Amino acid sequence: MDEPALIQSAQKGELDAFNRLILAYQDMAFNVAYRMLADEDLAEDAVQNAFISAYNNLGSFRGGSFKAWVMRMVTNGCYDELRRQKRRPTTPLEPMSDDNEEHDSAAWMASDEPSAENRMEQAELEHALQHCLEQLPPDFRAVVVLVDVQGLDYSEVSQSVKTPLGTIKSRLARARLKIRECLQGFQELLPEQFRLKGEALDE
Amino acid sequence: MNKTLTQKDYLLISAYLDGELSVAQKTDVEKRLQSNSNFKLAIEDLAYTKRVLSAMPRVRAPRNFVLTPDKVKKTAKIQRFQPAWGMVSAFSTLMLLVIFASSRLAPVASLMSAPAPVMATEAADTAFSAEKIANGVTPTPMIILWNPPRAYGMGGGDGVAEGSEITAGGMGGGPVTSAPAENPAPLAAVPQTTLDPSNLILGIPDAASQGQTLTANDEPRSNWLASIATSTWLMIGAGLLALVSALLAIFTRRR
Repeated sequence: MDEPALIQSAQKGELDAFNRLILAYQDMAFNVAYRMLADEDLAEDAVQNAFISAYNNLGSFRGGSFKAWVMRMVTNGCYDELRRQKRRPTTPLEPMSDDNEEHDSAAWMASDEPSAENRMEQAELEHALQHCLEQLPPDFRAVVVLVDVQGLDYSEVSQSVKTPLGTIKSRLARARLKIRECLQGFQELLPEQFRLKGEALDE
Repeated sequence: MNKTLTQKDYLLISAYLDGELSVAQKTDVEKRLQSNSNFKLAIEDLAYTKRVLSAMPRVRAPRNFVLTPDKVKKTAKIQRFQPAWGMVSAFSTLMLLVIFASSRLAPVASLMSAPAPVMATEAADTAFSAEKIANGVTPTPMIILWNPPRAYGMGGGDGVAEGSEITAGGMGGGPVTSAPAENPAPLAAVPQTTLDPSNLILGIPDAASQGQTLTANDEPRSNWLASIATSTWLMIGAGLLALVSALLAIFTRRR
């Protein structure tokens, strides 16, 4: 995919060119939004709005990392949703199955491991990590999701969240520490190595 | 958190794990890694945290988010005028401030530009010399008018009746002094203007007004709308425009 050519065409108004860029980045965008908001429906809305906003503001893209620019739209949309939630907190309704039992979102069950036990452990660890992510303030959460979960480098993250590099480094270090401390509450899910180290350091 | 390590240490460790240290800093960290067991444990700790975060499954998009022309048009229409609303709001606020300032400062400016009141002139003094008094000529006290009677509104007109001998100084012009004449003019020649008591320094009315009760304007205030100054209307209009356009700018802002 010739990204610069597609961007140029999209900036001239070609919607098809922009849609090709969407197809290339939608998984990343959704993953970031989902990890930020912990809700599929909200993440869908945030991503859709982000892409519409990106298309309408293509003129403001002046080169650099297009990926970082798109992620900025997504994180801004997530921040808006989190602020809205803070103003009007809601109790999410868990979807009920036909047997009137709550069931988790399919995402929790996603796993590449063949055995059921491994799948369960992985799902629980992921659940624990997601819980720890949700304990972070939004701006710390965005940094750790973009760097550690999504693999962007510091400069791309700096562009995405419109924050200086030094602040990115500081937030990332503190976020990782907080997650590490939070994970101590799920020790049974951690490898023994990590568990022991945690205990040793706390003494 | 390890009590022996500081926030700065963890910052260094975090950047080291991401390969974001300079050569000198990296060398320093590796030296400490060899010599300090707590430092080594902290690095391994954070490295594991980073690893489990990286291993979180990437959740795939549940559907395609490709845009259709309708979707884009609808949103673009709403957002098109967003910058304009902001500018309109800013401009209206500025106009409001300018009108407010001019309506408050203008009377002060006119007062400051008005010439100083002229006290009894030499002519008046000489006119009423002791000799004349001795001859039985009774001097009429001089009336100094600070603001000659003028029409309502922004003070545009001079409010002076035609044929009047009083000359107004425009907007609150200088005081008008009239030297009392030896033989006052007959009543018919005196302009029939209503004297505003607030303008009189000496409370002695002229011969024509003597015996009359001077009252404030007795016009019925039925038409209160007309009595509101134009500048006030302009300020209300500018304020409303600023408020409405600011609200529109907020609601149509890009997300």
